[in-house]
Amino acid sequence: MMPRGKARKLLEFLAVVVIALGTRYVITDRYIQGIVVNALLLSVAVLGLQLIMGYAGQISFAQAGFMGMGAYASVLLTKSGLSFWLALPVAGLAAGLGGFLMSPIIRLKGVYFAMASLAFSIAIYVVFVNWGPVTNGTKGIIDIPYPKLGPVIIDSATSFMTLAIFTLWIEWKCFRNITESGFGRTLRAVRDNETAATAAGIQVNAAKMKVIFVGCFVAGIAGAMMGHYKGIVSPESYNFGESITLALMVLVGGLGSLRGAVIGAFFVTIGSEYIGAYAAQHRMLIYGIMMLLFMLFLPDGIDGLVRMVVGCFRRPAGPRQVAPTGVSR
Amino acid sequence: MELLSVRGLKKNFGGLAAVDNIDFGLTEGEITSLIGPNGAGKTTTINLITGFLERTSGTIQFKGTDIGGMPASKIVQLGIVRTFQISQVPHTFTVEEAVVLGAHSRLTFGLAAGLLNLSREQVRQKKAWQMAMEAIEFVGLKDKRHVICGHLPYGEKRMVELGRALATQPKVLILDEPAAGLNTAERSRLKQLIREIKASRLTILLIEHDMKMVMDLSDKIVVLNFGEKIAEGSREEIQLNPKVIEAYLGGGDV
Repeated sequence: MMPRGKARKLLEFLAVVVIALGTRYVITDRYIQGIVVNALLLSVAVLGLQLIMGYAGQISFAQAGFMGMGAYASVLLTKSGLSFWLALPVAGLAAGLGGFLMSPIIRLKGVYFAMASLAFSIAIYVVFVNWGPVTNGTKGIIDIPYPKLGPVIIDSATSFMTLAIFTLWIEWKCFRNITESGFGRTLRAVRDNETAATAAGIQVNAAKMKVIFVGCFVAGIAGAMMGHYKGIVSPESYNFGESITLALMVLVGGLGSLRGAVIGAFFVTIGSEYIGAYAAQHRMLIYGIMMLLFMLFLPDGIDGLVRMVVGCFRRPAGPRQVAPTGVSR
Repeated sequence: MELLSVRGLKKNFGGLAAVDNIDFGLTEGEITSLIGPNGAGKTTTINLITGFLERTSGTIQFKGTDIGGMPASKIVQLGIVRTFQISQVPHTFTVEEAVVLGAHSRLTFGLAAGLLNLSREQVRQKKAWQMAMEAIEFVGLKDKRHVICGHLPYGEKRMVELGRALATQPKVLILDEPAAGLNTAERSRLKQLIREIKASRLTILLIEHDMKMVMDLSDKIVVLNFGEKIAEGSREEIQLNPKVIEAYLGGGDV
């Protein structure tokens, strides 16, 4: 009989396999499958942004730009013959290293960092539009080869759903580890009180750069997968409007909660479909209003709301209390 | 033995010399108090020593090494730790988490080790919590260790910060007005704690306005006024020093 810990891990892995392969039989409508793939891939990027914003406290409006870096890097590699599976980590690395370009601004606090990241995001977009020989400008890159896993070609919503679920699961485990580790504590200290963190011997700027690297790395992975799924990579998908949407997902889901990142990605993606159907021209206005409403009335996002409701059914807390900004681990 | 020494230390803010050519040293194992009226340059001196401010000129030596240009986090890692006039604690952390943060100066909690949850991460966490529990018990917050720092009253936030400072296992502990805002009972407890800290062979630099506490605790007193050192000596010498009396009470006939 295998030890309990190992048995549990095996069970969890099997459950993920079942979900990854079985979702296509539960969600059969092609249109909905497409939305789910979208939401899943965006979740991959939003989780990274949650680490940067919710755990390290750095408000970034540049995440879509890094998705773009990963997208362009990966399709250029696969179009020149490299296997998708090798291109993927390279794309992540490209985006992660791109994150280092933000190092001049990490010393900025709060609002100033946010504004600088916005400027950064615009700069990346301009590069995508103008670097014709590499990115093909606004025309974008098409004829992107589908990923192949042995005999299996990943070319449909269902197969991408499977891929996305596995990716998200791996990322989730890694991020769980990070947030529960000593380094996770370092990040939260940097978020809450940089002076206290420094006085405890923490190198604040080094910690910020590390988390930005990780957050951008996964954005690159998400961008790469999205690029191969949609079959086209163009600058429009990676401008600052998209970055703001990603930040909105973090806020709506719940700042500081890994679960919240996924909740927010799904909520906004699905909501976006409704907006697209009934009020497409008001999209950014609606996003703006949502952001304000959430910040005013639901600062802990949907995850915070759910935890509050669940908390009503639990017996009163003992010594352990819920942290003010909904730190969920 | 002089563990920490400051020579010719100067800090200018534009035309203002906040700290003007200061010399003093901390003897190992002793409590040295830095006193002076508000605005004398005491906290600025602390900020310079601990790397939160960059000096204009002068040297700051710790165990023979010039720590003058070093970043604050590095100085903490070397063993010089300070607390703040307004206690700086992470507001979403529980008491025990805030204290264990001090262990981050002694143990490296790397990204890779955390991500992969390597065994060395687990070993370090265990060590860190051990270090923290000792500090938590010492400052008397064992019963409150699960309380969120943001919910604590002023005096207890102070104790959390002290706990964190002790969890760094420092060689030099610098306390910036630790008694400010504390009532009489809390002050006498603080005094007792400081005595116990001294007994465990730490070197302490104390900035305080509570003269009774200063006189009761100090082995040596350094007096600043308008950025300059105006006196240094034992409590008797300081109490009788005319310059010190003038600084606190003003000149003229008494």
